[in-house]
Amino acid sequence: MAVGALFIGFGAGAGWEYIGVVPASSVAVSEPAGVPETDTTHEVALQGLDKEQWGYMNRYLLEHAQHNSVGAGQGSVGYARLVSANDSGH
Amino acid sequence: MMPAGTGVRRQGFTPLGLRGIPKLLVIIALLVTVAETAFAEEKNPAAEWLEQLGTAINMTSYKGVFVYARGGRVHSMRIAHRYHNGEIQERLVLQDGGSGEIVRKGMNVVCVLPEQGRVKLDQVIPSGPFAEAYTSRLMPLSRWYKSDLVGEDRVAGYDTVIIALAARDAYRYSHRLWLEKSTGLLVKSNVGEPGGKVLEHFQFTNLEITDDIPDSEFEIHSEGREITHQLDGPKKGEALPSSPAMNGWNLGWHPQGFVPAATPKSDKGQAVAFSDGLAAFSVFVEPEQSVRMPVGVSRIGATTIYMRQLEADGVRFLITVVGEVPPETARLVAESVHVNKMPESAAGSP
Repeated sequence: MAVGALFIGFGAGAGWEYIGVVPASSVAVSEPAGVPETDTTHEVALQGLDKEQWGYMNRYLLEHAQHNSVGAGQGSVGYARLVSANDSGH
Repeated sequence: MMPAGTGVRRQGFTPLGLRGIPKLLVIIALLVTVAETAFAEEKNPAAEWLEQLGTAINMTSYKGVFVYARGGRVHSMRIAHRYHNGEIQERLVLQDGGSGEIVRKGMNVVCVLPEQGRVKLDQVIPSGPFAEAYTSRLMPLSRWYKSDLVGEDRVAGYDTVIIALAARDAYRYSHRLWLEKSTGLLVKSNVGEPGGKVLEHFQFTNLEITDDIPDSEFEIHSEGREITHQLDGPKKGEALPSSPAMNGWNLGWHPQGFVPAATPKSDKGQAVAFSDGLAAFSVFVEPEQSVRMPVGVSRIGATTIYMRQLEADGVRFLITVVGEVPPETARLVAESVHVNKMPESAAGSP
């Protein structure tokens, strides 16, 4: 698939390095109390959402993208995220 | 004649009188100067590039086509951008799915809706603060990301430097930015997770950095229904909120370094957005609607959506965290939400 090839290509050329930094490294980031570390995050398959659920999901994506205008997310990237959020799920 | 060195040594053992103070001050000043010079020489070149980024994005004039890919979807847009007569002017044209375009002049945005296509541009117009409102705010990125100048590359015909921003903890993604050498303009970026998987990709495929962009490039070209929108972001120089506007609920935890960045417009409840200067997440707290949403995490590229239900005062709420953060971060943030009382805005909601 073209998209698949695109991502493989990007990944191969990006030269990412493993960032094996644990929370208790140079920056002290505390774990919230009462949340067990062994909790697993239940993944929801987007393909399983019905039209109404997709509508909700899209609204959250769009509202977040509309206001995510800081840092490197600004400028053209910000617009791109907006358009992408608007197109999600169709 | 006494050797100069001897005199200095004797001065060091002598209690400081008024005559000794100026000499001491000179020495201190010299030491400070030397230290500052050494620090400047050792200053991370990546940090210097990042300092240019905010200004470059807004003040550089350019036109071109960029692609954006996340979660198996790829979009391309044509853009013309310039800083003209004290305001940012932009024109964006969708390159796939429809013929819509967005023209922005300062805080005024005009959108031409495509007659066909999947993207509904009337929803795409940003209603929140724009980037320049934040460029003066210096985020201490180095505390949360290790920045390194890792190489050079060529993107869309321009020489670039590659800046790697490696997350210092597991609560955020790492980023890689390609900045054009002469202007510092962001021409390519990747958001990825440790291990090397790229989740989000942005890149100019065609680019011309030039001040010579005719006015016609910033005029609406396509036919169609137009809607006009006045951006309602904070005025230039206006202070950002020091604390999030959470009414009736609070966040028990969020990763260090994330500060309130903006308040997304949520017509059914309350929302607060946080940013660490690079990544952002939004938290929505809304009374549960008739549509039953699945609980758990969903991912589209680098964007995570985590939903959970919460009951308070006999009212069921849907807590949603959306952002360019790892799923575990979104979960921890969502799990830390406490509702103390029903938000006022939710009182009238079904």
